[in-house]
Amino acid sequence: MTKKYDTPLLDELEKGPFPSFVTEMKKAAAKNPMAADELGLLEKSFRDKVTYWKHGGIVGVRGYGGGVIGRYCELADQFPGVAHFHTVRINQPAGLFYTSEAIRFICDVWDRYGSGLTNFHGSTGDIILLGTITDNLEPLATIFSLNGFDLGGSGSAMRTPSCCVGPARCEWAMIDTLDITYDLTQEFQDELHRPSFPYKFKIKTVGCPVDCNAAIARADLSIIGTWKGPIEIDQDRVRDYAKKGVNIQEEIVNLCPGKCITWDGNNLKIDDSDCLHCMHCITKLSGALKPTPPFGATILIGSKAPFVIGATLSWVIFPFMEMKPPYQEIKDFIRKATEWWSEYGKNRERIGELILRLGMREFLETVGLKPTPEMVKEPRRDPFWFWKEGDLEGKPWESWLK
Amino acid sequence: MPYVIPEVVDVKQRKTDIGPPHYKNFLPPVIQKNYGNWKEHQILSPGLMVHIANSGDKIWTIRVASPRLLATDTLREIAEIADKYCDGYLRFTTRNNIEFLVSDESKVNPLIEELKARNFVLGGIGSRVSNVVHTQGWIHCHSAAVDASGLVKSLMDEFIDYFTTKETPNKVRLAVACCTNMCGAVHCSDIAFVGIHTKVPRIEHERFKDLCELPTTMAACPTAAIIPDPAKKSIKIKEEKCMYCGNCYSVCPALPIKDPENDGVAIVVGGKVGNLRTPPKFSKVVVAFLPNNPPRWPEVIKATKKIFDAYVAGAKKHERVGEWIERIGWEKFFAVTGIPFTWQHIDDWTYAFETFRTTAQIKWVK
Amino acid sequence: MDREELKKQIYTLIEQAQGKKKYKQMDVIKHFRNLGVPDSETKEAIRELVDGGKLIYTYMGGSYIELASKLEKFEKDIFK
Ligand code: HEM
Ligand code: HEM
Ligand code: HEM
Ligand code: HEM
Ligand code: HEM
Ligand code: SF4
Ligand code: SF4
Ligand code: SF4
Ligand code: SF4
Repeated sequence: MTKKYDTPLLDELEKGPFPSFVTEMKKAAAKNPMAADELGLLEKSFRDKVTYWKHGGIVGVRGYGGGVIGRYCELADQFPGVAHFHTVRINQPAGLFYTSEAIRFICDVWDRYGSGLTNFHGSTGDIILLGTITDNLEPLATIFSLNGFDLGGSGSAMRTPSCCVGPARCEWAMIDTLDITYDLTQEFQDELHRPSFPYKFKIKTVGCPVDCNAAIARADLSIIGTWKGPIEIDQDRVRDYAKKGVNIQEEIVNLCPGKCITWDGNNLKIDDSDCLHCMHCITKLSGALKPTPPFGATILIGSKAPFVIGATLSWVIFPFMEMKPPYQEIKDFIRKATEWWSEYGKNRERIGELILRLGMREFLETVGLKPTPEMVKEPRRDPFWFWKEGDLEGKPWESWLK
Repeated sequence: MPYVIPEVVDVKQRKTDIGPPHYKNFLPPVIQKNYGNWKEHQILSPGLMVHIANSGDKIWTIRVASPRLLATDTLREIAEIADKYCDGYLRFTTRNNIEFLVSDESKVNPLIEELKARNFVLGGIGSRVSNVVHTQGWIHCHSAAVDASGLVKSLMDEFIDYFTTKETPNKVRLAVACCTNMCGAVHCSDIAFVGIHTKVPRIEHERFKDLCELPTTMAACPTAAIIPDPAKKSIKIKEEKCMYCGNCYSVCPALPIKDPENDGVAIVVGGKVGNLRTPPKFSKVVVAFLPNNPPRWPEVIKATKKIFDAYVAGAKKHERVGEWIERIGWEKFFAVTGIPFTWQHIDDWTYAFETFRTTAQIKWVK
Repeated sequence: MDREELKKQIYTLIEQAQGKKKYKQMDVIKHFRNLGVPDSETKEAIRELVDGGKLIYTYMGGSYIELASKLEKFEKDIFK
């Protein structure tokens, strides 16, 4: 029998139609003393309106600098079961697909070595196993590795890359998000497990500009699938949509940001040269419109949460990159960019912040890129720019004015 | 692949740097066959969609809600259901839902019946409210100003009809971050909730000496509010400069900032990550403080309902919350929601100037 | 510098900095770069020390390299 706590406040959260995390905790608590104390502790947090966890950034497994989030309870005397309550991050399979067998395996391990509580998944993308003690970490990592699983990233390192469902089950995927994610994860195992960067570095890959994995907002490196060919139109299907009550003018033409669609009541026309590749028309007339090759990705860099300089969204570095195995161009880029950042970045400075501090020019020259209008929303506004030796060599205006 | 858990574990056998298992091990045969060759999908009901391949093959997806925090018992239950109807195949979504992948049409309705009988909640597909992206909160994090799971549960109980049946003008993406670290990507959600502090950290001078480094702690403060206090071998905080971000506490445990009465919840709205129609947008602060009131945060729920209802009533089809607000204008947004506009709404941080109105174009709303 | 000597010097560097300065992997690499040691050799030496259990990575607002003995002390102190 595990210890039983009175949980009047949490019991409130077992009511109501949405599935309850409290019910989950109680299921685990019935069998597992750690989970039982976790439940008791959470009730106390609800009563006192504060958290009772301590930082714990030291514990891990031999050889790795990440994958374990150390956690200790401030009220260890009262709740000895959660005195140590570390989280283990297991690198998820790309696309978050599983078999029942794999799920049961994870459960078997976790019932034996942990609290029985999990997150499918953490917002990093990893499988999160919530709550174990220091002595269990090596056996856990061993069993997982013998069965083909490895720990995910944490700390000042490459974080576990993640992606959208992509070509596995989405007709709009223009790049193979699962394969790219798997391949890059394998390529950067050392960087993932042995923190050598100034701070964290996240890669998220999505198959198209719909961005179902929030790559543009949550990844230092955002890989967003896109296309260059014309949008193929099945006029009969468009007419079908119109017949079924879609107001093509209002819902499609007027909302197109490129202002490049016309509809005469019978035929839909798109001026592809003005298309911004936003996906609105394609997703709203699903099946009637189709992007066509060449397919590739827009590569953006720099998003991070608000701390220190304020939040940023990623910005364009490569307007278009082909993404074909073995993905050498993106791998080379990642290596060059992270080496530059490791060399010049301050502790806890994300790569985007370093670019802002030292300038886009510095960064673009490092990775061997020339400036293009696709990298900016608009050119600079002030007249206070820098000149480098050689910028006017070859008289750049001459070939233009010829 | 048979999985093996040895009775006695020899940790010397641990393999390193093998990475995750290959995803192909987990793809149903129909997906393997039609990988990258999908033609279209149809949403048959809020919890059911079918994807049709160019080959004519089909796969049905049944989506159910999950609290993200799952006990192994529940995982075993969904594994058992997947065995019965899906040849064992299932997946999870970025927003923490569970998806059962059915290759045999005749099993779709029996699966739906069984899920309903087991009290799973189906929905979340299409223009409606999906599950909430959220962080750990009091369940596991040292810097949480509010809980996350409890707030999520309270929100989803309120908006459950919009998950299971009712439509909204476009998708409404909710997110909860329990502190301003915002692990959760709340900065780009339609409606998001952030735990905040309103008082400066307390300084435990004795512990500071043992636990913290002066240069690291000073460097952690984005507003340079931390200065040395050589007499105490500790630090001082310039109150007028501190914006309660808790950054210093993350670096130095001797600077606790948690406070049961003065911590609260802020609401930010209008963010989006997709590129459809308008570019991705940040969420903006519309409610700077609501009390931290577990277990059900009634003030937060009521405030959210007001914003949500105003959006549903006012937005045109396909408009996300942020697009709706941009069309009607912020002055009108505050008028239709009745939210009082306060000092905290005016930016005084890095990008403040970009948020000031540098035009005489104004709507008169009163 | 031969590998064992390099490892000894890395260990000493971290040991003597204890409580005064925290070294990130790159700081160690730069330190030995100034002494003429190629980056890749320092990196490999660090890896051997970490794999051998003498040094560990810690995470305090950034990842550092510290003595492995720190964990034991940390777990003892944390409940004070
Ligand atoms: C000087 C002291 C400390 C500093 C500067 C510091 C700073 C930070 C920072 C900045 C993060 C950000 C995590 C991220 O970016 O994902 C973090 C995370 C974390 N800290 Fe601390 N911390 C300190 C002490 C501690 C201590 C004493 C513990 C534990 C006892 C601890 C445990 C953690 C853990 C577990 C994480 C999450 C790791 C992750 O998400 O990968 N920290 N800390
Ligand atoms: C000083 C800054 C930060 C600190 C101290 C910090 C600390 C932490 C800690 C302690 C955790 C572990 C929570 C747990 O499992 O108990 C965590 C998780 C996480 N952090 Fe941070 N963090 C910081 C900044 C950020 C930023 C800026 C981001 C993203 C932009 C971020 C993203 C995440 C994510 C995605 C998780 C996983 C959360 C989950 O799965 O619920 N963190 N962070
Ligand atoms: C290299 C940079 C600049 C130069 C050489 C420059 C030069 C001048 C000159 C020669 C005048 C006319 C003075 C007169 O009529 O007596 C002037 C006026 C003015 N400048 Fe500048 N300017 C520069 C940058 C700017 C910038 C960046 C701004 C605004 C952002 C600016 C705003 C103005 C305005 C508003 C006037 C009109 C003042 C008035 O009508 O009384 N200037 N500037
Ligand atoms: C490369 C940067 C810029 C330069 C060199 C520049 C230069 C000038 C000059 C020489 C004048 C004086 C014209 C006159 O005397 O009739 C002027 C006027 C002015 N500039 Fe600019 N400017 C620059 C950028 C800007 C920017 C960014 C703004 C506003 C956002 C701006 C706003 C104005 C205004 C409002 C005037 C007064 C126009 C008028 O009196 O009709 N300028 N600028
Ligand atoms: C005002 C409110 C904001 C909210 C509510 C918010 C929310 C979030 C959320 C939910 C995440 C999730 C990350 C994840 O799931 O992994 C996140 C991450 C992030 N946020 Fe924010 N955010 C806010 C402001 C900002 C701002 C203003 C920025 C930048 C301009 C920003 C930058 C980021 C970045 C870069 C991440 C990356 C997370 C990751 O890598 O996992 N956030 N934020
Ligand atoms: S981002 Fe695009 S390709 Fe990926 S799942 Fe979403 S719509 Fe499909
Ligand atoms: S993808 Fe977007 S920009 Fe291009 S035609 Fe369609 S709606 Fe217009
Ligand atoms: S948002 Fe803050 S409190 Fe919540 S899990 Fe992330 S760091 Fe912890
Ligand atoms: S809470 Fe933030 S602003 Fe205030 S002193 Fe700490 S780091 Fe500085």
